Amino acid sequence: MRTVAVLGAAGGSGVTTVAAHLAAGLHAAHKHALAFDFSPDNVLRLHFGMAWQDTSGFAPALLADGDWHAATYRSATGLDFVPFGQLASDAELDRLASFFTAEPLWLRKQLQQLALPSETVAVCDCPRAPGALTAQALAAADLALLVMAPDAVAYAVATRTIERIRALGGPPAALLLNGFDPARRFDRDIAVLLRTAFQDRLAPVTIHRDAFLNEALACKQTVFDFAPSSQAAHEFAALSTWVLARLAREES
Amino acid sequence: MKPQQQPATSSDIASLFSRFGAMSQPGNYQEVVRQDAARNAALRWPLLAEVQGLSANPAAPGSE
Repeated sequence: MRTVAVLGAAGGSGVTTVAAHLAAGLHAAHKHALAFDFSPDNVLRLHFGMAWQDTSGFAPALLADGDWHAATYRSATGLDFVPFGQLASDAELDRLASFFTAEPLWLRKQLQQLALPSETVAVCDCPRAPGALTAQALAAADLALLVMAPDAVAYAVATRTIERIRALGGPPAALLLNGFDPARRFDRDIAVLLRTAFQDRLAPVTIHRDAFLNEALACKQTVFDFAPSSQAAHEFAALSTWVLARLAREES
Repeated sequence: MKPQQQPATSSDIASLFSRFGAMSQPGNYQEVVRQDAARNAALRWPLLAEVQGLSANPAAPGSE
């Protein structure tokens, strides 16, 4: 089992979209993937067709009786995923954060104990703010994928975030530019800056802005099902291939 | 029809020689071109210039 933590350099980076499509891209390439939602927004599941009203997930199950395994689902296309679930209150979220602070390797141990093929890649969707949940995912991860939109604040924050992951003793981090529009001068400038500043820490795949991504989510699908010929589908397929290669490099 | 190539100006050539000398490596040249492109990109946007530790270009950004 190898794990990729997907987190954002700033709000609105498209972290959940990237996490969903990375897992779906691996699945489409016939690699076993597990999409694990570590964000209280509980949105990852919607990409895989789960009902909006369904409040099930690992977090409420864990807080209720400690066993979360019943909160594992399989999408119509056969992708396994674990939704975060809906917590009843902020106090419950605080309780969960306290548990994770006391058990910093909980997720790593849980993933290792799952009876899944050894080549499985778990993809964790991390919350916006740093904290116990993100730290938990980073402690389990073999690779951190830092997603940033072409945005000045995201660019400013990205360097600090990568340094913070390193300071925390986290996994190797790679940066992914998401929502790129080549028609915009600013986007092109950001891409030039990233290539110079981050070099091999910048993923060689850039995800372009693509309206099919929004439409696919509105239909509770990924672009692999909704628009398989779209640019986004091709780019996420390429990202999945690159992530596999990068994980193999980290192992060797 | 191919666009006409602009001849290098004497100041460009002087700049190249001052940075590399006559026996420089092509790889060094590419690296400096990349760094110059990044510097110019940052200078168009005051916040990016600040993040890079550069003085922003007072000209209005966004103009092509």
